[in-house]
Amino acid sequence: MKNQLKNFGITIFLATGEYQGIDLTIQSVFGIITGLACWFTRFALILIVVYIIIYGIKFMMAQGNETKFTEAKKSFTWGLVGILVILGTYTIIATVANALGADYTLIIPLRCS
Amino acid sequence: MKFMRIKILFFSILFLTGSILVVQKAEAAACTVSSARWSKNTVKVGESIQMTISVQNPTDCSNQNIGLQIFESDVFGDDSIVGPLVKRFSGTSGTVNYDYVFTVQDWERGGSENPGTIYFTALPQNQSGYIKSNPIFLYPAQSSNGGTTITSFNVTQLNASTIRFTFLVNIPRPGELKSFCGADPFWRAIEINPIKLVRNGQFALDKTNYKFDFDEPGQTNGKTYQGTIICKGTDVAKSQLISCDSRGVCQSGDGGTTCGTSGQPACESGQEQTYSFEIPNPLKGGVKDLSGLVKILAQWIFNLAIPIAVAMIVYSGILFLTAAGEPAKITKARDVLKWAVVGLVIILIGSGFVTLIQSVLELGAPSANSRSTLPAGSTTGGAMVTGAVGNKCSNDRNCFSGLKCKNSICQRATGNLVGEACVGGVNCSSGLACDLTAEQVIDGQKLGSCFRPQ
Repeated sequence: MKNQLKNFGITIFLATGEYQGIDLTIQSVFGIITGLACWFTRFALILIVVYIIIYGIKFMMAQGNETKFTEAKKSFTWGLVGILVILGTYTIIATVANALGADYTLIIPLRCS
Repeated sequence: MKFMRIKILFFSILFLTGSILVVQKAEAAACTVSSARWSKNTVKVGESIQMTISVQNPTDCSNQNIGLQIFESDVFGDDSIVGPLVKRFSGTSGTVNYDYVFTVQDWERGGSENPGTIYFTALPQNQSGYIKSNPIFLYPAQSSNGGTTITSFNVTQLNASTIRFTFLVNIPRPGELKSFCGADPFWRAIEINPIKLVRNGQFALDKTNYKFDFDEPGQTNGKTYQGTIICKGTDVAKSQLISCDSRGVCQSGDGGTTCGTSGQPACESGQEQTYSFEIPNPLKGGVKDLSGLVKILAQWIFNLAIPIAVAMIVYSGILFLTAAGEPAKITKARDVLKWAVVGLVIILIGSGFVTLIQSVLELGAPSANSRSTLPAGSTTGGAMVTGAVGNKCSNDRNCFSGLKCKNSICQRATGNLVGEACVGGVNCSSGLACDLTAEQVIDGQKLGSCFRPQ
């Protein structure tokens, strides 16, 4: 009971401590959004590995069953398209930008540190 | 024996008393001044000021004269302005007052350039020890310039090599100024920082309004001017400071308020006053108008849009990956990718839509800044060309078609040729290197030249 009270006191102290906000500028907003995009890309890379394994298991589970095999093949094909899109993100953007005559060297790739 | 003692005592007392009397007599003869003060700390020409002198012992000074002399202290030695003025002690009073009015002549003699330089000395009759008063500031009376004002002083660049100066001067009481100056005054135009006389001239005081103008060879750009009316080495009126910008356009010197601004005396109450001030641009990005502000905001939204586009494309990839061949999910993924690309196209075109609509409305006529032809040769000599090989650029659009922007210079798509500008080897075509010692300056950038290594 004594300890609990003590902890409670500490909590109160922390809660009433001096409030300090974060200096937020447009540059940091830009940094946050870039960070999210970078995180999303990394997440997608992990997902690629996971799904390749899942589709590999699907092939195995087909066990020569014609319909199941076709389905697994179709899933894997579209999975490959997905991998292509994920890995080719910057290629897509660069292609679009180049087609329009814009200078894309300054905007991509994103600096994910 | 007893008698002897009394006798000695008597003589001693007599002697002491006598010596005390002698001392007292000697003291009584000296009239010593204990303090000498002005009644105020500043005084104008024509204004009355009182000098107050106190003595240690009034009876010593009764019916004696005291000499007062006014001085101006100066680094070159003190100048006598007035005096000696004589005042007699009435008798019982320990202080004596003397009222004095400073004249224009006094001010000329002791011209109080600095505050606190005018003092007086008080010396009693037949004495050698005088006492100095506190120093005060004597300045010329404003009214003594006859109300002279420079109602307008304008500087105009007439043509490439001539400046016109125009004075409009109003002297409501020319007689007063004449009595102050004693002679005809001068008008004078000066350049400030460093102070340089442009021209001056003398004029007769015969009316209330005067106009002087003259032309002088030179350029006004970046300079500051002032017009003054001067006599006896003193400015009786000053114009506003007229500063000219880098293009040589000078601000207007109209409106005759000649107090309160820089280089002018402080305003008296009730006098009209001009303030010039500027509001600094709070935006540090150098934005001056609304369209500039919109451009900056657009730039930021563009910067935010690129990571979002990346995220959307990756998202569509994930949808494809996780669709597991389901047609509905694949259609959704395809749509996400399609619209992400469409969005990207719109973002990248951005302000280009304005140009597109403009070109449609102009029936496809080439706009002033279109880059459609590649100029022959280099741009180091002759007329300034932008967008050619070696010129400064920030993106490909700054360069002529067929050129691209690399290392902030425009270069040929396959690299520059021998002798053409480069920042590094990447600017040169294959097999060539960049020689930074063969320096050439284009658009203020120090560039090297491409060469073929041996």
